[in-house]
Amino acid sequence: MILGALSPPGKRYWGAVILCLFGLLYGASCWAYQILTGMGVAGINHPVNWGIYLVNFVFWVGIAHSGTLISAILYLLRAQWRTSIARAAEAMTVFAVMIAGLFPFIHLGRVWIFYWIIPYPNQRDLWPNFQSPLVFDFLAISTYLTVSSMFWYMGMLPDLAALRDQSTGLRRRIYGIFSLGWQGTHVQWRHYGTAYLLFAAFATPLVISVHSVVSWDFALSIVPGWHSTIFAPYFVAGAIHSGLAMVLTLLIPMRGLLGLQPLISLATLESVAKTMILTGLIVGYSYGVEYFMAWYSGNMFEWDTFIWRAFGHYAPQFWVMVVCNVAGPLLFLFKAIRTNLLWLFAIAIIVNIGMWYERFIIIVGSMSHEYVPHAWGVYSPSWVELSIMLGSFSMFLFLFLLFCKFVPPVSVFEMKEHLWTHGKDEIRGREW
Amino acid sequence: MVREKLLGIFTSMEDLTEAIGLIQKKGAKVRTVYSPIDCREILEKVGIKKTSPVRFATLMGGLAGLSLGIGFAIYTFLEWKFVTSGKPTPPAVPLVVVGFEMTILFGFLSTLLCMLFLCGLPRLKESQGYDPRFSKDRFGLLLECDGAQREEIRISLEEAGAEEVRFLGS
Repeated sequence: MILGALSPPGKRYWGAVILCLFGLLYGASCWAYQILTGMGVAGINHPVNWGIYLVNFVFWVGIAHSGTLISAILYLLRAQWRTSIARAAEAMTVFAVMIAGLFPFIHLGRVWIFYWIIPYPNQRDLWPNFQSPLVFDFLAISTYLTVSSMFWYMGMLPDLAALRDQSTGLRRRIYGIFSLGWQGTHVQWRHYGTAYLLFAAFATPLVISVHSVVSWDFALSIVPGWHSTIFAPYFVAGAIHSGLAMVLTLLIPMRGLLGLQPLISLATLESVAKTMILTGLIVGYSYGVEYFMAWYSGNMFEWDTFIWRAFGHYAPQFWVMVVCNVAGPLLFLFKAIRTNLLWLFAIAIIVNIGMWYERFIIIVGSMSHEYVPHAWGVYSPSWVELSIMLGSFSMFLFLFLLFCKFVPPVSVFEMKEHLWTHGKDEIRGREW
Repeated sequence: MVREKLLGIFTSMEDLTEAIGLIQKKGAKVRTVYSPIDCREILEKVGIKKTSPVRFATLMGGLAGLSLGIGFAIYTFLEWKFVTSGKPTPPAVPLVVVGFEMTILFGFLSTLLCMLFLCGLPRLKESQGYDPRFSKDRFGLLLECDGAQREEIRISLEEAGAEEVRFLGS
């Protein structure tokens, strides 16, 4: 069944791939236009120098969180429901981190000197400042990309070997290369089992650290609305919330299109929805605590920024954020809603929108209303910025569509192990 | 005495583990057990520790990453002092972040490399006795015994439930 999902796709699939490819190329050409013309084509300007490029950066890093959360943390907790969705969630992580990593380059403008952010002594013999959160960011994101992509790849090794053994011709060669000659010997399983557990143990604190580091890009500054100790847990909770929403957004169509309903059951999706009630409440609590801290601090600039967020120029976006992220997931308290695919999908989309606006409110909302009234100003993204954002979503879906057809979207060997634990003979003679 | 290699192919794990016990009693040596899933019972039967020495590589890699991260940050700070008012020098908090990330990165990579090394990966050629069904739903038992015992072992494997037994030569 799982390997059947890799059968030659139909016209609808190729139509979707081509559509996403066009979106990706359009976004790439807009980036090329920005490089050739200069950063003036983007809407960022004083006082909002961090526009939707960095909104998207934080958004995609957030999306990247739940893949590793589902896979690593639930693996350590031995939660069985992870098996059917972990592979797709890990793929989501890898693609989202790749895209997130592009946005600082897009925001740089002069992307050809991107290597200046790598910690090495430059022409003036100045070492990077390790007290800067931007250096933390480089280390955290590059570590996360390395770890999450290797964790994903290593998790696929036994399945790639199974694909190699069931393929012929060129496919066999390609899967043969990527399976590294895995044979499933007892010695290999012994080292693999221990190593995979350690990978999960490394990935778990890394998930928490990466978004904490991203939050410190903001929290270590003195901008009102950013300079807060709650930022690290607040960002981590938000990241998990948005990641879970994206898991639902991707898995619901995927299970239908690839015929994986028996494996990715409604009960699994319901578990994700239940987790989202918790993360939604944590996010809602964080919103409340932010306001309390701003008021209780007695800092007039801080409090004014928060009042302005709720009732100023960006008030519509603010209330969209609150309703989508906090009220939306509360609908999952009703069993009839969280067991209905249409509702699940709709609320997941709503939370995705809400979480994008959360990052918009945090970044743009604070920069446009800092200390000095003469320096206040609002920001609107230009068509170039919006096009590049469209390109990033297209790239994400493009990569995910390719993933669904070229590697098993569900971990076959873990499903076999699951069946082995629960019904020993079920793996024999079964079509995967 | 000439040593012979035999391969037993099984459809169930119970039969395989039973066969391992039987042939070990008869003095045959288990060379390799092939399995489509990670089953710790096999290691127990074969008499190998379940935990892997890969853990030591993890520890070493993690410690190396921690030292390198903190050492590098301190070195660069001493090379180019960027003193921030009221903060101790070199500052402690940033070192924690750099050290933490490097611990994870180096610990992870050393685990990965050690695992690949111990698993003999990448492997360019199929090993003797490997059958493509082992990655799907069959279990394989590759063993070595005295030439004189060959028939006896074959019968034991079949009695234990082997679907197929192959002689792979000496």
